[in-house]
Amino acid sequence: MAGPVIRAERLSLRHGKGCALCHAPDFVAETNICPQCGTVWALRDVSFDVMPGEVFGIVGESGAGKSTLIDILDFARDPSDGAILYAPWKEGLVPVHDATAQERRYLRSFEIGVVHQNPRRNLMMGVSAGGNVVERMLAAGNRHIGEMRGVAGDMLDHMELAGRMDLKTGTLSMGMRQRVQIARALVNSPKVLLLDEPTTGLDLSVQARTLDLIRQVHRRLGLAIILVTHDWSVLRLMARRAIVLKAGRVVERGTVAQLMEDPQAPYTQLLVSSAL
Amino acid sequence: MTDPILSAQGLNKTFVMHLLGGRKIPALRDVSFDLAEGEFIALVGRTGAGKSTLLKCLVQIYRPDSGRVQYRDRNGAQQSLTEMGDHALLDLTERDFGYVSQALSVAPRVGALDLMLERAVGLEPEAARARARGIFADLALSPALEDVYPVTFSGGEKQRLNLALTLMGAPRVLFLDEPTAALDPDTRTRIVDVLLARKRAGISGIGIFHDMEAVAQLADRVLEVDKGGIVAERANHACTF
Repeated sequence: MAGPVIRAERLSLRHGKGCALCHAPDFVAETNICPQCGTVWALRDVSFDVMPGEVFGIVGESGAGKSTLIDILDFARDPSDGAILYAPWKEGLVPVHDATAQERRYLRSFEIGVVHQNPRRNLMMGVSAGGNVVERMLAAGNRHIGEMRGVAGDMLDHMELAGRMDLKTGTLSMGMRQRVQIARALVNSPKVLLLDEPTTGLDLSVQARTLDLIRQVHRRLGLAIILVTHDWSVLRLMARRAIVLKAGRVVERGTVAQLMEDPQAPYTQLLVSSAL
Repeated sequence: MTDPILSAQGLNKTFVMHLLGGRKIPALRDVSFDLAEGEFIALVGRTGAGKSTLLKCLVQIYRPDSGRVQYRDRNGAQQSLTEMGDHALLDLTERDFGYVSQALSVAPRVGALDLMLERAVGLEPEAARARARGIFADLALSPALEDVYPVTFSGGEKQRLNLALTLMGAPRVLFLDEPTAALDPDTRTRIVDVLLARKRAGISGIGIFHDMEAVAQLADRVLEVDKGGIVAERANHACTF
């Protein structure tokens, strides 16, 4: 069987130096703040494997560390400890946090696409929808304007944004901006797509449409998707396996059916029983 | 004699309700049985006896506290579902198992036939469409429903679509949670006929039935479940083909 496409190995991110107490491997606290030195452990020992073509879920409530984890997977931040092993980059699993700035740029341009919860993190609002997509192709070294316009136009058509290519992104609705982000993330054919709450804040019909588009893309391209969500019905629709994060730690992992129907950790039981 | 296709050995399951002060609800006690290849087992018993829990422990939607579930795969190799990694487990169960729950859970705003086509594995589009239409008709689902979103289906239609989705794949073992509940006698007969055809094709199955006519027609063996354990077992001699 083929190995994982991404492996997160004991990722931690702390704000503060930490002390003997909170660096101890068996350190457990009520919150993610060390009671002795006040160091905040935004993530602590997070490990998981994502297989090629799989949709992998990351669940947890606000503040659990989900977006921090996405930032680390996207190289927007470095972890304090641990490694990410990224298979398509080099033969076998190689820790990408050893990569040079140039190698990181390559990975971010070609191998990994990211869709943030807040479109402003990815999109320039004063630039047209097409321009936002083309910009990413420029970053990847493409220089043929006509060709890029064609590709960007096709991509936006796929995202049901035909005819809106030359509109300023700032004039588009939230649902449309999310789809521009998806088009931009996919335009260089990445192996991995990171989706941070891609449908949060959208009304139900726009959510259904966006999820359907993501499902189509996934089926057509067979890429691996890491999906951050706090919505169990989105998780059930999209993902096969997931981890549950609480205060920066993995409290439970399993198949989505197991997590939803037979949650074992008190926190997972609380989350599942709170679903509408 | 060949090994059984599925074997449950000493399954136990207790639910711990952490939100209710850690209250424990015992659900399965020391359940063991074998399912032979090509055999159909009917689980009968009162509501709340543990029949659905048993099905879910077999397919690993519930993780049993102790005990083993062994499965003999297509190559004749024994696989221990209870000790497998979750990725390998999904690969195996998605390919070989057809679990039909009592609730339909599907993508919104996708028509019924398109949902079925998503489940087609290794078929040309035309062949997949023909197969989906055939299953649809076999289960007495009207062709007018083919492009309708299942959210608008009646209870009985949803139930049959759930079975139809499972039959689109090529499961070796069916796990059926009351597939004939809430259906009128004619439609029920259609479902039983479809299941009988699968059985004749060599598919094994274990299902929960409250309808004794279906049990008499389908099952080789009947296991009675009560208070989380198997309390009686009988061969079903009425079963003839």
